[in-house]
Amino acid sequence: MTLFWQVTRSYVTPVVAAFLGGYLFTWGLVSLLISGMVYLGGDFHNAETIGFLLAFPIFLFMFFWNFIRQTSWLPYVMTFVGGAIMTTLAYGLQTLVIQ
Amino acid sequence: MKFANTRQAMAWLHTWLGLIFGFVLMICFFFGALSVFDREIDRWAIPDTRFDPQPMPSFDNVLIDVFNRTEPDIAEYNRLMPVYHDSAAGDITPRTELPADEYWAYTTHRDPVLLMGIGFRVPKPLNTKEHNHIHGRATIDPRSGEELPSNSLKIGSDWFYPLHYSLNLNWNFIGFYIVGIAAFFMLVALVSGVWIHRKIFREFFTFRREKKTQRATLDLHNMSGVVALPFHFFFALTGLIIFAAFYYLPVTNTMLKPLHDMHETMEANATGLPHQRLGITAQIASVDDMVTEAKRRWAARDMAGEVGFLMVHHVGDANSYVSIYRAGSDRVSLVGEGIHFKSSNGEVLREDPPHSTAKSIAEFLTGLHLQHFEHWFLRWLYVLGGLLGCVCIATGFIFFTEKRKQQHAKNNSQGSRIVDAFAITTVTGIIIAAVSMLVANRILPADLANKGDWEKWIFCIALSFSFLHATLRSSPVVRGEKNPAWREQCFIITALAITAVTANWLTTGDHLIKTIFTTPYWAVAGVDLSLLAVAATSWKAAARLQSESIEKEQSSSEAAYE
Amino acid sequence: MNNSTVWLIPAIILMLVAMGWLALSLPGHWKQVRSGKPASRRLRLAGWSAIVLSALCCLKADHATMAVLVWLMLMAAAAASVGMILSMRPRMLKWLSLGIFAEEFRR
Repeated sequence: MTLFWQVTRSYVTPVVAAFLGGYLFTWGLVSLLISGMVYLGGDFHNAETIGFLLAFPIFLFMFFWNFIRQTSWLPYVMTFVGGAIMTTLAYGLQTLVIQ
Repeated sequence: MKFANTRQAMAWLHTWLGLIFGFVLMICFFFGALSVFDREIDRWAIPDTRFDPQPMPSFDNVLIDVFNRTEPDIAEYNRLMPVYHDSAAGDITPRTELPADEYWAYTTHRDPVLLMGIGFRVPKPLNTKEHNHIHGRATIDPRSGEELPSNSLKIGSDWFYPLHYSLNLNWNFIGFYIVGIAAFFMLVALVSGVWIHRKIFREFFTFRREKKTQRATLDLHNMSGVVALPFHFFFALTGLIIFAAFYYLPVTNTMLKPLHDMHETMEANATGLPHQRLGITAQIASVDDMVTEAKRRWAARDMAGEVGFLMVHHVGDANSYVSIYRAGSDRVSLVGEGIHFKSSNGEVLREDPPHSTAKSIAEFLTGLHLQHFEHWFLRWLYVLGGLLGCVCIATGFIFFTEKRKQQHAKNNSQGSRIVDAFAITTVTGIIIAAVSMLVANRILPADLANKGDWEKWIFCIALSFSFLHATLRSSPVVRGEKNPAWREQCFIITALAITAVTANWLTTGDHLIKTIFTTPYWAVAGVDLSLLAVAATSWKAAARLQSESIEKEQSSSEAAYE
Repeated sequence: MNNSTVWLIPAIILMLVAMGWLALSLPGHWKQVRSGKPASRRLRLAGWSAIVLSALCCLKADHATMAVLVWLMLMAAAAASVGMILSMRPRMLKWLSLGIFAEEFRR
């Protein structure tokens, strides 16, 4: 059982964390991009398309960055906290646009 | 942590994530490659539909009758009606009395049959903001308007094709998510693979078959990965983009849905295409005249073409309109150049304007994956790309076990044995399953009730058989030797593929001389020839593995004798 | 099959030749075909030129967006074919190892 926990802690956790972090960051960025562009008067579907085109390369980059620099806190802060902040901002912008 | 450097971290990611998701990716690549010819496999599997592709038939004479007699799907009605219906507003509407809200018909340059669908609306909905559609579908012979028997399964477009993006696991879309995650890690494996291989250019042409299995396998792994690198990368990426809005990054369907809905209403005002029903009944004018007008307008723009997709919105209402889209057979992007008509009088409401740059890029990327274009040579190159992907993943599995099995044999570990059994299931097993399904399709009686379901079961049983067989025969791997299941399953594939071709001949009379020379029908000939190619290749592989194992036995018995 | 589709034939041949030359520019593969050493730079130049010519043929055959796909996929198919030929019957490529591509020619 110790082997199982060891593998989980040293391998599975970093992969899952990098994946979730990268995803959250991408989610935040894409939603902020869409709501931001619409807020600035852009077309909704155009913004959506740009978001989806950029999303996966960015996700990929953030995943690698998080995974490779495991010892550093910066990537984790950037992806998790940054992702959460961007998501909140996007939500706020949406509320502003809809009013 | 314990990675000494970036290269080691990359190597770890490539090895382990490639291994775990490789089993899923094999299914995506193999059945994706088959999906390039999904319509042709359909023709093989449903002999009644072996005739030439047809243009969109007359709406006024053929389609409208089919729409009028098509009913909502029973299973979908039972599942969704209680959810959509507002029981406080009155009694539930019986299934056959649901009013139609939208009609659509869809065909491509490869389709003899026509796919049609209806969205029925719920008269007393609980949530008035939603669409609340319950669907009905029909596949017809466009020459007569007759429906195909409902027991026949379109093996290509309704089983192999969805298998490659959803694994046909539809419970909560779990299959879509598994494939999505696998596609993401395909990208990870590609990037990390390129990172750890320094001599990309040399690997283009190097396959030293005379070297040890481990080395030769690695050569083939590198070559198949590198030569088709753009294919592998862009198919994984575009696959993710195609489903981004619905499954993988549903930002605008969840969190930003209010923004999306606001835009929909704004867009409806700007385009003049009504977003909602008005509530006043109205008749529909001649849709055939609208089709003629649409074709005239496309020709005027120097892009004459056939109708690929036709849709009637808000059926029977004063707000109803007809959207007519062009079949995209001569270009990659699936644009459609839609022209919209008012249903009641056939007046043109709107022509879709050219799209923005971002939209055009996205349409090119999704179009290159969905391949609506008419280009047989490129189709075959895509099959080759998909099969190179399979080779790359399969050699990855073999390299993994070859590298470790001696070590595992010493430590008495079961690791290689398990990986090898899964590898057999996802390499030879999926071929056995696919070909068994085709054999079953030809052998089961045509009028068997739920024939399609039987075929699906046989696919699953064959796959399980392959896994069981691979597991039961796996003990030699523990001694550092090859699993005989590889060879045995290759023999099984040969036998099945030849049986399939023979069964097609015996049950339909369409043998290769007929389908190639006397009355050419390339869809069926192509499937038959591919099956024969599979038979020949697997026979060769099996024979090679056989002679290898005999040699080994002889040398070991000689060693014992001395 | 319309008229412009015919251009796919030179596109395929040029791509195979191109990949053959690029492969022969590597000393290891050159040795599989004939003795001596290759004039690598010259072979690479010839190879890339043939790839460009093949691209032009693809453009003649199809709409530009489609031609890009055909060209890229053709590269994969041709490279894999040349790799397999080198693995099974390398001598088949002897006719590509023209004298001007041998290193001694320069002297």
